[in-house]
Amino acid sequence: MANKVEIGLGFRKEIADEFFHNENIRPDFVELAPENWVDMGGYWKQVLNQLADKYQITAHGLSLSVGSYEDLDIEFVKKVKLFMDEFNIQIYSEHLSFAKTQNAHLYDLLPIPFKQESIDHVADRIKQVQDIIQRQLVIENVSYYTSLEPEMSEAEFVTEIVEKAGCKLLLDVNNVYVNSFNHNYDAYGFIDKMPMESVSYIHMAGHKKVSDDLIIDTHGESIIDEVYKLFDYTTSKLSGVPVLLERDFNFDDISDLQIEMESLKKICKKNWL
Amino acid sequence: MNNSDKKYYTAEELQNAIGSFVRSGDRIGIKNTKEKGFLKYRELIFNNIAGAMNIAFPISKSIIPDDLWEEMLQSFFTNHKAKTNFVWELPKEFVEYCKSEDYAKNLKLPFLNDLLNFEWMEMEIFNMKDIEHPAFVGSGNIETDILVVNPEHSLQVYDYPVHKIDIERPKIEKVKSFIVSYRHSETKDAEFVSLSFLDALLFEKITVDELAIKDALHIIEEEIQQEIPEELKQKSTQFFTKLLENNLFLGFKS
Ligand SMILES: [Fe+2]
Repeated sequence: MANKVEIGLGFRKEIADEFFHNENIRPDFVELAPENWVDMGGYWKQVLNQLADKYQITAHGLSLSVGSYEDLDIEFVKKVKLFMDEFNIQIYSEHLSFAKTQNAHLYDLLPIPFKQESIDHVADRIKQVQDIIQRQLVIENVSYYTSLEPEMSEAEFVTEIVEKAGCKLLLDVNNVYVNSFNHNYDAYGFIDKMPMESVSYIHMAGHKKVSDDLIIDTHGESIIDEVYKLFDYTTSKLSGVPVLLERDFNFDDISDLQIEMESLKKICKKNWL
Repeated sequence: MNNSDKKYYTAEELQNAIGSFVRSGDRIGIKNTKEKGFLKYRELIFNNIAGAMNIAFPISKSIIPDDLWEEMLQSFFTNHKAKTNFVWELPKEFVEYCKSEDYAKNLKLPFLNDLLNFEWMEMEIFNMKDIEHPAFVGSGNIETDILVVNPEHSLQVYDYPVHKIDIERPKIEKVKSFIVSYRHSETKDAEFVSLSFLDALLFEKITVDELAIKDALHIIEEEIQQEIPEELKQKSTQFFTKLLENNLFLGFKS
């Protein structure tokens, strides 16, 4: 279904009730981080069962660490695979980042140096994951606040990894905006360089400008107009991929999230139908 | 060490350098990078980890002076290599870390290890993987039928009665304490009960050796070579009746 318009919302424990009892929150699907749900029983397992009954779920991982130099955590990937099977999850996305160094988890997404050797290393690891989960991994361009001795541009780096690993791309449009601001490049030019045929998922979110030269990718604010514009441009070059609204905190006015989902839907419909 | 002139060549070295900086705060010089960016990561990651600990250990946090608690978290962040993929499980590693650093002794809070463990157990019991419930029947004779325990439980033995701690006056005497934490099978809440020494012995005999209360009491009498006063036996029987009502026991063996 090439022209299907589906707008999802990140599922978080803080607002779990809204997904079941709030008529004003109507995502077409939900996304969750397996790290917050795998191996969990009791109350949250019940909630997860109900969630899977009501919505299609996508998995968006945090700790795979495709950029790391420790061995890939095979046991963990196998757990994710079982989790996907149990809850009928088709899409597993992860970040183009490292979240572990010297065998220590950092629980955050750090930027991989844009180097040729990184491309080879990361592509191998993505392939290893794909063998276990028996499908293509969907890899996301991350926001980053510092780059490490880059040998090439971010756009070249992302494109080459997708090509070499044979994976899909999760294009986070807000991240493109945030990075273009923090690292002084043209966001539209970046989108133009992305391998659009490999894009199978989109993220949208709000961010926070903390100083004249720094934006933090908070996932805590509303989407700004300029990011909507960039989204419009991006979706005009694509068709029928799921779009996910990320919001990690600031849930004071939950109905704003529905308004944002509707705005996104409108743009997709304009470009795709 | 000032290594601002050091040149990094491999991606692995760069990643290790940024990881070390993030965890320790020791400055490293990497050309073409913004220091501000590094600092942001350090701040975000520390806050994330500290937040998880503050939620897991509200009692310990309120007893330990703020600056010392902060120091413990910083030390954990810098020196401990977090193993779990799941942030919610990280407090368990903090309990172990505090034990290995002997904070209980250093902070003159001898009950600290017990308290941290007690607080962690509540979280673990609430979140842990489901365990399939065995078959049972709802009615039976409390003295002569075998009770079926809720498998989602954990018996802990502490040197201090940390479940009774008063955060305003956190001085407690050393007294062996037996706590069973469990997950209520209907509400899914994490509950705990404190057991007397005799009840803890009984609990073991009932749950591990699968004995009825009457037989268990008899065996305990043989083991301690002493008769248990009838009054105490009655009290224990009543106590286990209450545990059955409160879902630590599900019913009786069919
Ligand atoms: Fe994202």
